[in-house]
Amino acid sequence: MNMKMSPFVIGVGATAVLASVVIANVLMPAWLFRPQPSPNAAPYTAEELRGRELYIENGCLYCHSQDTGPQDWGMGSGLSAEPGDYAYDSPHLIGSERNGPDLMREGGYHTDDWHWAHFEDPRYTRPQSFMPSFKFIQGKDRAALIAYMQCLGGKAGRARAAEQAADKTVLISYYNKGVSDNVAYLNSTLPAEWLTMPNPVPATVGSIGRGKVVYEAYCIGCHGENGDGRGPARPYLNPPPMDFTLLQASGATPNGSNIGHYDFKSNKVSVINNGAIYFAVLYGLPGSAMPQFKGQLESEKIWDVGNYIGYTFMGWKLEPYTGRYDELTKSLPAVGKPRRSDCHFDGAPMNVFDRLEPG
Amino acid sequence: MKSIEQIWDWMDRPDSAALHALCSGTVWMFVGVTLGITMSNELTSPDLFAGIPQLVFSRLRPAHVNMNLFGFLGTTFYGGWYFILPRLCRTPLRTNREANLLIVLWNLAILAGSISLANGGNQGHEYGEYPWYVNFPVEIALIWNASIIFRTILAREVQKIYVSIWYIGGTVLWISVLYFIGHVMWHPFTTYLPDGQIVHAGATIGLDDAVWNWFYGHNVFGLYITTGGIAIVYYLVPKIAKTPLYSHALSLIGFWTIALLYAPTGQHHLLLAPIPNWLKIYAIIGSVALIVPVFSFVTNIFMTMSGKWSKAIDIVSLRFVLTGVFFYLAVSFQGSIQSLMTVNRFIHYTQWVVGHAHLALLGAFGFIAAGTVLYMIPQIVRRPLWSRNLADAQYWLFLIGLTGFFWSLTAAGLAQGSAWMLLGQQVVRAYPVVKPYFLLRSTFATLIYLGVIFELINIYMTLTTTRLDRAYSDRLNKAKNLEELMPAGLGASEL
Repeated sequence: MNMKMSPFVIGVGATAVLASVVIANVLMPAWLFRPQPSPNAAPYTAEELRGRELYIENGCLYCHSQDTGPQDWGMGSGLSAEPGDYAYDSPHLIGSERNGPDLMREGGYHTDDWHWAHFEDPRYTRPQSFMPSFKFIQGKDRAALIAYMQCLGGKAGRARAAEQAADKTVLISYYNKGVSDNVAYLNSTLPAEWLTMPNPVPATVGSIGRGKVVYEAYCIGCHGENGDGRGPARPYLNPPPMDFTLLQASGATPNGSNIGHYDFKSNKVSVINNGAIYFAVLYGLPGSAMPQFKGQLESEKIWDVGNYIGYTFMGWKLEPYTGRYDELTKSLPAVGKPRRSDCHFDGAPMNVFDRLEPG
Repeated sequence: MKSIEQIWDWMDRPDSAALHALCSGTVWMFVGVTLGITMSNELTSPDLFAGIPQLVFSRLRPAHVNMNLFGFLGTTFYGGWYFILPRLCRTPLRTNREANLLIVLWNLAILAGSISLANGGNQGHEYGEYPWYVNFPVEIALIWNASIIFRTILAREVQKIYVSIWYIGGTVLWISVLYFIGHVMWHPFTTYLPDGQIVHAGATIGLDDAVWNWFYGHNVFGLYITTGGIAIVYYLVPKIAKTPLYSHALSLIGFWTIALLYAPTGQHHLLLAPIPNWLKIYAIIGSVALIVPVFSFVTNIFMTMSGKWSKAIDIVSLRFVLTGVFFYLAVSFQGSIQSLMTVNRFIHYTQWVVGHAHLALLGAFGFIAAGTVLYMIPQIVRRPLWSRNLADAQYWLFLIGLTGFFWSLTAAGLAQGSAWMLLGQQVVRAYPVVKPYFLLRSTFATLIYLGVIFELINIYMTLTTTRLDRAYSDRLNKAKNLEELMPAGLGASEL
């Protein structure tokens, strides 16, 4: 092999090779691949564009992707991105990393006030987050950034955000009427059968211990370490987070203590049970900063966190512990033993309580 | 105050441009890695600089990436090329004065770009972040550089053109074209179309924009840093090992295939996005076929070292370069594997990719750059390296630090991929999973940072030390062949 390498061969050859690839790899797709806007895509408003500008300036794209695919079943959206979804994006913000969640369909999954608290300090609303604080983005700029968050997900995202905003005014009006009316209203928004749902996971020491871990990882930023709704995010949220200490529990422990909140003015006792808590954690309370956790918490963890809240803040009675797998069989009508094989649980806290349990 | 003539004379000295570029590159390395370790600690303690916009992680990240890419590796490699070309062409650089001015312009552009990124001036293209008022000076510098390189090649006193020169000649042309494409420089201002559509400065629209972005984003490694570094390896290894290159044919295969196969790989960053399938397949084929130029280059270098490996133990700079070649083999092979659809689905968007990027830029080309600086600066200033022990310590700090850094992030990436893909967990569930690995990464990054500080001290002391006695320094100034000087790290008494 004896090719003579002259400056001409190097210069022209190198350029020609690159040029051929540019034609095939960049110009050809630019010419052949021109997707029309998808039915869900919509142009951005001026405020949303300002928010998008802030998103770029502050480098949000380095930790948040905007691309959902069939592989993302964990995100629970079930929808894959289409070429036409990006039709109004310039520059594209597909991103390359997920230090934080994908934001392709973020619109309407959180309320504006949740975002406001989250930008102030992400750990206010998401205690485990390692996102930096963006409290230097203030006033109109933060509102624009939030408007951009709420338009992600195209027309569907915008519709979700509009629904949240409409619900918010109703929730605020009921919050101002007092605890018992507020709880009664919130209960009325849940399916009736969940209000009387028997608690399938008894409030044992083990369940409460596991619930504490979940509470501290997900709930403490808004509801506070004392369950009084005075977490660091509270000043930013309207309506404010639920104060569990004002509520009396029922349902979980039919023979439980009755020390709860009694509203002398209206002569009513506020009541929520673990089924209501479960449903609210699962789907969130639309209009309030309470987001849905259905993609993030497994079923048993939600029951556990309800038990933790009930026992610690609302005076539920502790139920006797009879063993990891016997919990269910003891508190439910006899339907046979639950299967053991498919249980996986990261059980560090549970094991601690196993040992503490008397008898 | 010097007169302008004195400044021109100062800039005309032989090898002065190379020296200034190598020193600038070392300083950029220090600043770039300082940004990196700051960001690493921000991930483990997010409120470290809370509320200071210029120091927020996501603004430092593009500054860190671009500074290390263009400032550290780019400038160091310019210095290497300016050192190599006059020696291989047996003619002075055309001209040192121009090259010196170019380095000034280049450094100012990188400084301006970094400041603008910290203040939010970001075009939104990954690896193409510099705003238009930085892009144009950079593009001018790139074209100017190509003109300096080609004028020197055309004025050469020897007929034969060594393989390093092919790579340098190719690289300066490729990056001039790529930078223009990648920054969409024909569109410097944001415009609003009548249908509510916006076309952002330095971007096109929709997925088309992603295709342009990643074509550039991967080639800025492939046809700038990679080929620029290979040029230096092809010079340094035979030179320091004092042995002819193993094969001319392998060099030819490596050179012509790298442009053909590296250029289309960029779209493997978009395998999960809805771009056309033929484009994905084109990118995967290119990525896998890259083993041809990679293996031909690595084989050529390792066969050149055949029987001479003990020199890699004795000579620190050679050890740096050869370790870089090992890492190059590893990272390229890893890159080919992770472009496969099944693998990519699992590791894309995870920290694995960040580990891969550091293995390439710090592992492969950072080591080569460090070897370049430690070899060439003593040659240029005709003084032995200040401390061989410090260079040795730097080598081990880099090696242990980078290896630990890489495996921490690889483990974090696998943990994230498992959580998302196998357990179906949302990203927020993986926060506590990655935190310990981030802490581990910061720890290993500290070792790397220490190594960087050692190199900075070593180079500074080499340049400023006046402890040489007169007879020795006279001898150094008269010596024709200075190869014994640095490579073996011999001190004054041994020379």
